[in-house]
Amino acid sequence: MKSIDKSKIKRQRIIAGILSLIMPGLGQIYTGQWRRGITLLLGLPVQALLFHGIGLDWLVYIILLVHLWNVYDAMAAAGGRMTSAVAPVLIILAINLVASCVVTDFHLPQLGPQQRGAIHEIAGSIAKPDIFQNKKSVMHGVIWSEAARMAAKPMLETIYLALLGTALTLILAIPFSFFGARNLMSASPFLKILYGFTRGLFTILRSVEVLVFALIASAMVGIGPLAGVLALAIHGVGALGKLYSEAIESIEHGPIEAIRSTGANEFQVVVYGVIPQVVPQFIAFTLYRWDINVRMATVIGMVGGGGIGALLYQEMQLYQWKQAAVAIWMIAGVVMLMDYASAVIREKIV
Amino acid sequence: MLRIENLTKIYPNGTRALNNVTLDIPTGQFVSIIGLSGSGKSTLLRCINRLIEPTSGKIYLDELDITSASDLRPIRRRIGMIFQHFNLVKRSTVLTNVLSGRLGYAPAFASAFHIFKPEDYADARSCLMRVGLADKESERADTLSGGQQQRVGIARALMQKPDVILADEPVASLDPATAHSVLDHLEQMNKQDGMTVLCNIHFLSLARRYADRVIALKAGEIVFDGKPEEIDDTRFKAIYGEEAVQVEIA
Repeated sequence: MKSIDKSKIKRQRIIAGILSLIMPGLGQIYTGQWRRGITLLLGLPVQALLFHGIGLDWLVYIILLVHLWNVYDAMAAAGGRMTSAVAPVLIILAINLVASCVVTDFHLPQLGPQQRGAIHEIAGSIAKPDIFQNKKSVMHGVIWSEAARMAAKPMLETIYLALLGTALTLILAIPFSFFGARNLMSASPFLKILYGFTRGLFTILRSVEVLVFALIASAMVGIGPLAGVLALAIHGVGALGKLYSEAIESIEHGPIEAIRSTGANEFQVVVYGVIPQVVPQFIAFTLYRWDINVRMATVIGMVGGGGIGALLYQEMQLYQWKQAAVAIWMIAGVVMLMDYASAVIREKIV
Repeated sequence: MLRIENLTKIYPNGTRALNNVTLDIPTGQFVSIIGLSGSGKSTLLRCINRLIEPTSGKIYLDELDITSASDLRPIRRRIGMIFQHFNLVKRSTVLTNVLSGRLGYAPAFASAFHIFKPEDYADARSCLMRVGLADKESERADTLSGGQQQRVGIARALMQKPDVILADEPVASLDPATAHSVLDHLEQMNKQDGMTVLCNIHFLSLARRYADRVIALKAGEIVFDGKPEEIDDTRFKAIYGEEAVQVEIA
């Protein structure tokens, strides 16, 4: 009895091994390990095709290592054991990393004297930005350097650009956010459709990068701060609208029921029951957005959105690293300040 | 007179919360509704002001057909409601919470900007005076204790100048002493102002102390309707089950 069992298992092991040798995963499917079998059956050929597609046929040979493991695994499976898949997964991950290095032409930079000079100059400028005047001029009452004075105005422009973008977002996102709150929109099929539509709109606006909106806006209204404001406002509706809607969804239902029971209409329910509950979160999210918008506004400036980003871009184009360093430090300082301020305010009101 | 005819409520998940309930409640009666959790007490109260839509049956307030009315405003403002968890807007002031009892009368646009008539303010202050919280009007509602919050809830209901008060477990979240002070207010509204009171309550001893009439619900049906003193041990066990023991609340 026992010997018949043994020879039966032995035969199954050989069949499973041969099947997996012919086609990866077949042996596993034969022994009933469907999930691993199908993963191998589809995964290995697709991986091989991928490498062939990007012209790296030599990597296909390394997949053969995984193929060998697959045969071994199929035979083990016939014996009732499940082998660890860590090694083959690591091999696949490693060869994909090799592939991505080849595809992106990634290599350690070979530094010629020219590059070394550039690195020295740029790093030096950033380490010693040209913010203050030299001693002699300070004595004449001029503290800030020419570069700093030049950067101050576009920096303010960027802060205001972000503020206006945030304000426009607020005006657009608040009314929409009520349509995007499931708890207010479940009364009728029409409202449910409106809810789905609003949330869909938020997702689309959020998933398109601000930079893309900025390029579109500057093509439409011309290069300058206006394009930046529009880009921030439109992208922000997607981001803030979602946060507002979620704040509305998390309110307590009891007070709503109480206000409704007094005979208030739906509009009054929103004013007296919903809004007082969401105001602190709305303020916190809005400050957070302004903070993000200042950071984004600098990048937008580089693609035609005006402000300090535009200045920074110009200076870098002209290799004026000392001046560019001033702008970079100024941006870092302002962002840090806003970050700190919005954190303090959020803590106070929530 | 509040008349309920063959009221049935079946929830979308198939639960039959109320099954063919018929009741007549004369004006000015203090009715306690007792029964286990899930017996349909809350559903019954919420059908009366249509916070919950009944599946079938009719409800009349005097000659007004509540169940088929399309405009709920004139109905709801005649019916004040008090809740177990007070349901105040926590971040609003006590005065705003009380004023919101007037929303069923106030024009929507003016009230959106928190504009009320001077007599509404005067009313709100006298309601707060009545529940003993005149000095708290500009505090935030969530800074008050539970008993105080429930009294604000009562003041909010008083602002409606209602004919009927629906109280859904008004003292279940309060300690015994505070429970009495809240129920005393309900009693006063019933005896002095002639409001009809329907009060869901867990403690039979409180029902005995305050109610003219006790209605017991079990699985959505009326299993007792009569004077509080008629509930003896057998009836008690029929309502609450064989295992139940009466608990006294001072």
